[in-house]
Amino acid sequence: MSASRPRWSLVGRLTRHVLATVAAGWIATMGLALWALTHEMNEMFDEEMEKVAEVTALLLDSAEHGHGRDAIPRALGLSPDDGEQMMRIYPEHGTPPLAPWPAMAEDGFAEAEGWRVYRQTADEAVIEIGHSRAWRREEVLEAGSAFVVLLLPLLALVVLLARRVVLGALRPVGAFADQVGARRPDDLSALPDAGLPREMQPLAQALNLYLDRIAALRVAERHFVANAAHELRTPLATARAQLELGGSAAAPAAIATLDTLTQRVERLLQLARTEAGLGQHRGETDLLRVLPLIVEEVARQTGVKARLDDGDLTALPLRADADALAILLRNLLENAVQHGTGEVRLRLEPAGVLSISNAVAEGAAFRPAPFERREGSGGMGLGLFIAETLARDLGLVPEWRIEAGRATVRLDFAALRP
Amino acid sequence: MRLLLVEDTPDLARAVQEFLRGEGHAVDHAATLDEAGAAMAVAEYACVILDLGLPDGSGLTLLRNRRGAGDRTPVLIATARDQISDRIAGLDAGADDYVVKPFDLRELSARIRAHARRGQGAPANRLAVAGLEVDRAGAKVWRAGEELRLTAREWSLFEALLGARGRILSKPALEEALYAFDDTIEGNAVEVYVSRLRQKLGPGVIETRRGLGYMIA
Repeated sequence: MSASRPRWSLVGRLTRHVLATVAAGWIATMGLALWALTHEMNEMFDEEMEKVAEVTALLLDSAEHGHGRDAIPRALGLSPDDGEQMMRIYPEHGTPPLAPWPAMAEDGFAEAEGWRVYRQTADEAVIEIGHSRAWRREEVLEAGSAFVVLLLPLLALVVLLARRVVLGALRPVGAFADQVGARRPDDLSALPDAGLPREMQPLAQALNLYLDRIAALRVAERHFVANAAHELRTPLATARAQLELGGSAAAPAAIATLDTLTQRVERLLQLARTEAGLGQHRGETDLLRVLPLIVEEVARQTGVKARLDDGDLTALPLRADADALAILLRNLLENAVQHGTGEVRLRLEPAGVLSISNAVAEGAAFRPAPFERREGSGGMGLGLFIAETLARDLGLVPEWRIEAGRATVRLDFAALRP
Repeated sequence: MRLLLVEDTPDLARAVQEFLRGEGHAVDHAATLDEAGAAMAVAEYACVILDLGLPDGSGLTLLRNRRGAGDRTPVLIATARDQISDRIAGLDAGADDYVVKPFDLRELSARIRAHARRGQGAPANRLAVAGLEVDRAGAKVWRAGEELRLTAREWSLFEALLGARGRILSKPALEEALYAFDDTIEGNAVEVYVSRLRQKLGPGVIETRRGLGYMIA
């Protein structure tokens, strides 16, 4: 036997895949959003630097006409302590400071030693405004983090919703699987495909084709067995009747051989019917219609007395095929007659338990193995095998017991009561 | 006795005819439903031996038609159809007996005789009692054509009373009939089953003779 593979769930797998796809999309979106945010914030910061520079230039200009050029400091740190933003103003022809960024050659934006710098020359003064790149990154990350933090509860909601959506989408699959799983093995009727999603229609149609084929095969098998029984029994009857009429000295032996042949053919046909799933078919059958007929027939054929106690029941309806029940009961009864001694007692309890018992010789045992010949038996060893197979197909569990010189088989029909 | 054999296999029909003629019966043969219907319409038979699988249809059709028309001629189905459902269908259609091929010709003949006797008004096993029709061999009871289903114990008690018709059977004697089923009989078992029988058979069939027992008059 191969090691059993761990079971996996379609819902679990789909949920994981959907979430992985959503997460990948979300991460990609976040990356793009961060890039766009960085771009937009840099533009905003750049615009701010330009405006500050222009305002400063205006201030310098008004200072020249007002309190004098020397009133304006020539170097100014907007936030000199944390080193995030810096402004420096120096004479156009003076020596520019070399820190925190080196001297700039011309006006406009430039990148230098971890700073984004805007330089503007106005009224013989140079105004330089610098933003630390690290500060700008930090600002973008802070904005991005807020974005992520806000989205996290949404992600949890997405997990929940994805599971619900997947469950909902797969409900027809689950319902279809339940419907198939709940069917009895003998139910070969078509599966309804109405209401199934388009993707599942081919599955239902393929299954229905398969069921049709099995049903057709089973019908053909049953017809074949029924026809074979008919076609074999009639010539056997003719041959037997002609032998009886002939009255030759060899006739009795030939008739006995013919009867043995008939019995074997009958057993093989019973086996064929059993293997064709006869026991799985369910119909309405009254056990008390079938049982007395079988008891009377076996008693007449074998000459062994069989006493039926019907437990004061006049009817015991069962959900079972009448022919399957009859073959089961006949084989049990014939086995009792063949391998036991004396009267066979059949007792049906009102609860629906049937026991078949008779006396047996010491060392007797039930041997339900097919084609296993027993000493002193002329049979093929099929009777109990057929009985056991039919009982299983009918959903019965026979109890085989040999105690105090009596063999008993008990069948509890409770499971077949409608 | 005049018999009708409905059988479409010529060799088998010939052998059965020959055997039954040897037994002293007059045997007509029909190989189809049409022939059988025509024969039954013009002649009165003591018993009909009917095959089911005939070239022009099922023997059950003929049987239902005849029974529907009120024909009570005993019919013994002799067929290759061995399934219990076929047998039940045959008996439900009104057959008196059902024999599966291949059969013992002597046994067939014995059964024909038994059914023919019943049909000819020699009802050793068929009785009319207090408005009931009773088939002792088949353990069956009818009232106004409707079968009354008795359990094995009920039938056993009823048969004991029937066997002693006109005589009173004491409670211990009736208990004997029930001992076949149980080694120990409850003290009131006879009363219980007599009561059940009265419910099924109707009033006036079983009489109580206080202090003595029960009887069927």
